[in-house]
Amino acid sequence: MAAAAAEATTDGGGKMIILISADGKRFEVTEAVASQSQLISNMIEDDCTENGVRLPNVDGDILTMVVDYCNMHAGDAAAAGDTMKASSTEEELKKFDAELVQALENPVLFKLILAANFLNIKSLLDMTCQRVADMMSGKTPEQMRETFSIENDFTPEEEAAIRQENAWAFDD
Amino acid sequence: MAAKSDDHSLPPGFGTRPWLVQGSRGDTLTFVDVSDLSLHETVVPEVRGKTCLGGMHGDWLLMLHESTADCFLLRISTNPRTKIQLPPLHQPLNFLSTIKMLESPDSPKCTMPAHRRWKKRATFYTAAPLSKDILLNDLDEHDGLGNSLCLWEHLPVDLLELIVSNLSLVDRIRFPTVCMAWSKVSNPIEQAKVWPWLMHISKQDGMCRLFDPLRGEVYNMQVSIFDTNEDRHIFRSSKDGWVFTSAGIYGHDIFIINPFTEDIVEPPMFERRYHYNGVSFSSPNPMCPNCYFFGINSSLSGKFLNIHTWRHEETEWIEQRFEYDVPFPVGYNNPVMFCGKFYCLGRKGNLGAFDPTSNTWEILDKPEPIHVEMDLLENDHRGREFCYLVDLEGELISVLLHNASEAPRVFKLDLTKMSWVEVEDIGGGALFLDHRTSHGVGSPDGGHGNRIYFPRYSVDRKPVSYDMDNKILWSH
Repeated sequence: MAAAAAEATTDGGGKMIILISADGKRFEVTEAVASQSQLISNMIEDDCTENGVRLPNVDGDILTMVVDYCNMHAGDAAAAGDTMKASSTEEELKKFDAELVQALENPVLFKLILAANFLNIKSLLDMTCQRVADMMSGKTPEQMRETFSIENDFTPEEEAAIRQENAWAFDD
Repeated sequence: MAAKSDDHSLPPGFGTRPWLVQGSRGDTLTFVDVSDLSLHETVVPEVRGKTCLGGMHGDWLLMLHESTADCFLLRISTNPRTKIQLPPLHQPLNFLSTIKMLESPDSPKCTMPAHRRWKKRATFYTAAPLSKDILLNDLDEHDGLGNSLCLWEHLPVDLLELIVSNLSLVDRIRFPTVCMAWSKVSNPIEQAKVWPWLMHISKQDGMCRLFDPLRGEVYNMQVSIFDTNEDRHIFRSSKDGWVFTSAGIYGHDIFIINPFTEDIVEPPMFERRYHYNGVSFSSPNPMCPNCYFFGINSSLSGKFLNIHTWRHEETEWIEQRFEYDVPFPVGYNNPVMFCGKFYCLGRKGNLGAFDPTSNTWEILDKPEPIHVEMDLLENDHRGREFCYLVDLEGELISVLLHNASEAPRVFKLDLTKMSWVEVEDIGGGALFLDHRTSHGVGSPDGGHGNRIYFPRYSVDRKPVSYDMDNKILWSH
């Protein structure tokens, strides 16, 4: 137990890493926070985070959300040894995630998915993709197009052909 | 007017100063001399239909055929031109902004690629032997993704697939009809999230009505056999999308139909009228030759019991008769295929099991009956109560229901002790009960856990359900 606690302290309070967004905003985070991104975790392993990590695909606004998310979830990992603390954190986390995901709309959701994919943060990617699936749920194709600003690029014949196989699912 | 060169010849001065090389989808490359903006055209058949991802190390072009993902390097200054085949590259182009080749392809350090795939390491796409040879890198340059328009139809395929994996059946069917790009995403309907729906034939128009209890949606499906045949169709049980149906005034003509595909399995007709308390089959696909069909019925007293089995090669149902001193009145519900056996719930709450491999039927000593005393022939309300047996994520659950005004009692079978344990919750799952067939769903869509659904719904499409957490019956 003591060894695990000591390790957690080193992780949590250890080296700081600077993340630099596309528009030049700088975020200072601990290694434990940054390592939730598999991309950055690999870079830490390869020892190439000395001069900060430039993330040219991620806007400052989006990176703010990502860093908030990672800060929240890093606490979770650090508190794993302490059951009492972990359980309260778990509840907070659920609430935080639920609030974050409920508030997500276009185009932030789109950018956050790309950022989660780019940075390789699986839990955030799963959560954001689930949100998109929820937004599709129960919608007709036309409503899906409206929700996601997609143009129907089928010819009427093509569209009829693709619907034909399961015509019952298109009662609109 | 551009000077048109014949095949293989390049404009004078190429390679000594920067040139712009433009390709259309045709086989002509246009060379722009940036010193005087003069144009030169050269026919290069290899580039027809391909996209040029970039030029590097002088005169090497990285070409991609978008529809086949065929990818290669082409050196245009040598005669004949040098082509180095690369592995297929499936990543969408908008994700590859800057392309770098760390070594010139003709450098001795650069070996010919012996590998067959592009390797994805985070967002680096490398053609091995690892990163020394060619590196497609989207890290160094700002490719504008951060500011890009929100183009959902062009989300990378692997992300679209991740989204699709969370969709339920109808959403999956609709997804590819949204736009061309989405219609190309791998979208196996078999992997859709599903839960039981109610099905009945509408007397008004002969259409099959499907009611989705969790979404409150109704769908109409034309199933020709129900449509054209005037026989009285009664649905007797269902499993994995197949519906066991009886037809004719005595219900003796039976068939099993998949209403989506209209595939039909026709077991032999009964000699007498349809008389099963419950019927089921062993395989998810009743067309499979190994599928075993099983029906059971007992006398009201429970002293006489018959089981009936049929397999594809047999010309009639095989009947086995049993007589008991200790009665086993079979409940009006369907046998449940569990651990290779058909389990049947008796109205007292004990179980019988039929093993198709050994062709043996037995009434199990354990679990003991939930109701020890039951006056089966008299006007005993227990004897007339509804009972259901259902498999919920590999556990056997029984539900007893006296009448609509009382809460259902739910029991889980403890397999180690072989005894029923009454439970207050079912671990977030949902049960869909009907005497024809009952289903358990482990984790239904949000807000539907710990609920028991009954085969009824209101005019405004609200299902009748019992909420185990709050002990409320929603009958609307």
